[in-house]
Amino acid sequence: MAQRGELILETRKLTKHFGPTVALNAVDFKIYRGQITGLIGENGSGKSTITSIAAGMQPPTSGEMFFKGQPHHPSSMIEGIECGIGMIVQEQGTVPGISVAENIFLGEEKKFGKVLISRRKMQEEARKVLENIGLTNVDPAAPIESLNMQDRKLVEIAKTVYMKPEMLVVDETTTALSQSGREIIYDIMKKMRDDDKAVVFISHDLEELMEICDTLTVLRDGNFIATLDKEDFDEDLIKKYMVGREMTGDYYRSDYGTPISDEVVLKVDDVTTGEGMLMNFSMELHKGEILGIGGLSHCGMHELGKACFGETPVLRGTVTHVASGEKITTALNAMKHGLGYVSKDRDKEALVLTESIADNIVSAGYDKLKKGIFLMPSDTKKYVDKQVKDLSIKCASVKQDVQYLSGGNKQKVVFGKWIGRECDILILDCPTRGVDIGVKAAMYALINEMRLAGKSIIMISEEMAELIGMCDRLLILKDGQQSGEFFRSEDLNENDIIEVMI
Amino acid sequence: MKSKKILKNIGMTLVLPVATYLLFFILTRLTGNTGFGVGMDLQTIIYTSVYSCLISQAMTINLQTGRFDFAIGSTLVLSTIIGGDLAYKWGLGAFGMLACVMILAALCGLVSGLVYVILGLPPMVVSLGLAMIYEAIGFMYNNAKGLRLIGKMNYLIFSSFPNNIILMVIVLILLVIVYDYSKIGYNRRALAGGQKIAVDVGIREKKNAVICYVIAGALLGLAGCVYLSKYGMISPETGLSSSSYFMSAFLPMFIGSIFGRYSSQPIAVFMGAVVQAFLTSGLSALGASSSLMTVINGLVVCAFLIYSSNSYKLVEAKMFREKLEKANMAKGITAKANQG
Repeated sequence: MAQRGELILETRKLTKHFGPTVALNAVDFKIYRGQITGLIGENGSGKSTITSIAAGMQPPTSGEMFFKGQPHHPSSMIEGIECGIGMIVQEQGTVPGISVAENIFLGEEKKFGKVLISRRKMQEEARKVLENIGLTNVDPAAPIESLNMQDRKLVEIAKTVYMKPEMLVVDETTTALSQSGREIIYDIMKKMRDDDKAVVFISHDLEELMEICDTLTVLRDGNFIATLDKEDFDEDLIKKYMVGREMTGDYYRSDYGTPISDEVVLKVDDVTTGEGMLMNFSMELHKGEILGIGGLSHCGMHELGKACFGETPVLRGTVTHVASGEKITTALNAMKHGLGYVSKDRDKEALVLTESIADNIVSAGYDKLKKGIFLMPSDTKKYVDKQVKDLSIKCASVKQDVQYLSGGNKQKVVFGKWIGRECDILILDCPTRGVDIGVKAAMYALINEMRLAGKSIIMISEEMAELIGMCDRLLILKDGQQSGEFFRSEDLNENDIIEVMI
Repeated sequence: MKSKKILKNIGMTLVLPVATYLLFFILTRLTGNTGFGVGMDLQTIIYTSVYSCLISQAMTINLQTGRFDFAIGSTLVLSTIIGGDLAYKWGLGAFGMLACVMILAALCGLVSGLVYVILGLPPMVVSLGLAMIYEAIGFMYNNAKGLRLIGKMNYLIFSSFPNNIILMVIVLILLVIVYDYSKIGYNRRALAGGQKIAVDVGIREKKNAVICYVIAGALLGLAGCVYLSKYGMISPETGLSSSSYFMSAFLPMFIGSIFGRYSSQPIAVFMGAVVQAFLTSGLSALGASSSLMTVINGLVVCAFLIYSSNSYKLVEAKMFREKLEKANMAKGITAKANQG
């Protein structure tokens, strides 16, 4: 057993209900100083709920919390911060319309003058705060919206670290960061551990958790399952704890040597997009093929997905739907020719969060369902119910707002939109991003079924294992251009790909 | 580098008023009219600029945080009628009247703000209801006679030059301090950019909203005094006709939101008000009818809205050009490598 520091946070029988849903069920949980505690579990397992309660973002339904030995019941994030708990959340936590420095000292302006605030002093101090985490290329006076997503996230991290928390919660932040950004946050966590502070690290990336954390706590369906020390870390055991069943890791395709049809369904010819890095790019997608697109962040792969669906301006080149010979220039045009697109940014680009599951699923299928100018309730109900059943979407009712679903179920709704439409060509941009292993396995099975049904799939992913495991062919992009091509093989491994990726 | 940036900011702040002035100066001179922009016309331009700027500032402070205040006109009318009347009855003089009207207008703002935060209803709904109430009170007060101070010149000092400009300068200095260098201004901008995040770090949204309503009220009180000084009287309004008081406030607000980044928003709003005054006066000098002037004003407002909604496309076009150049270069390098 690892040597533990002083107990800093303890929950006793902590329970949280959201209506009839039990998000946390009498959880006993302990966090110690001098450790990085990993928190893992499927979507909806209660990881973010327990930490957000501790940080004051929401109250528990029942149960007790003790922070540094004292009863702890913060009523707001401010109180949480004042107690010493800082939290970096999944969502973007910066405010547009104000500068980097103003974002760092948001709510703390009085430090720079009681009546009049000194901008100069604020910017000087902000520069020190940014430099403290190694962020030297960001101008504190710049408007925050002039920064890219990663730098904005790092500004947020710098701000949280500046508050010198006793306990830092990092909630699935690393998914938004490139390797260099991740290194910054790993260093911060390690430094805090070395300074006898506590860190709670929530991530879906098991490999990352196993490497960084000293202990790992597994939650499942709001219940505490187990805490493992570093010497007991075992990938299969953790997966078993997470899903409650054996997961040996072979949830990818098992077939090799399956011939790819010669029939080309979509042709990308010398495309340069206005946004992102993609330039002079050509490829062909065949019928019944899963074509993987991989690369480092900002390599242009996400823009490629958008360009294929007519969602981003193409400055030069063409995307052609081969069967009709028509150029794909708009999303409407793409849909007309049987294309579907699952965006990486699920909450902003693929779903209307404040609308129901039914409305979201039907939204891509109006033209299929309409009779004249009417939509028949019985038809739409049948259409929606089929998707909910086939995809096993967990919900109280199809009238439930999508915003209240877990990440995995939200993604299933997005899939339902396009599967219901019976698309022949599906563009999937990071289809398993932020979903748990159980949902991932279901997604892979579904993608494979679609392939067997003759659908063509472009699978864009940042996970190499996923690309190797699922794709017939793999194109790697580097700086917006193709740097390598691989065919499905049992011998293909990550090292081969990394060579052309970096 | 820094001085270059300062010069650019000054240039961008002044470019629109100067361009508008020059345009109408040339057009009027070409048509043989020599009255534009000089003498009495210049005084009218200054008065119009100050008056519409004050209303526009009051509108901007709430609208940028998502609150459209329909009670702007009725607050101005009610506070000017009652405040002006009380000051006159009590013999307080011009500055006493200014204080009375401002305090009453700020109180109206306080009521508006409190009703909004307590009821939690949409600002448009709350302000429509309050506008009707304020109009009704203004109508009932003094048997619907409003306020007449014609000839009482010692009270009517705020519309004439240089008093109006002095008033404007003081207001602008105070507003720049509040917007750019005070906690209220910082909090307001944070709430406008991301309400939830701002509230999560302890910024009190409701308190800030009430403060904004109070400041807006005080500005409307000032506008009321400037108006009263110009015309010597103010009549009560009913049936939401008080909304006509803020119709001229939109163009300065839009101009302010576009050009604010080069100076400070209150200054940019004032520049917008000056542009509008030049436009009105210039069109009048060219013999345009009031209907034509309204149409042209509306078109200019639309033009600014179109620009502000599409300005990103200019940046995008430049970005796209650079991207294509880069793609061409990359293509050349690849072709060379293949030949080699």
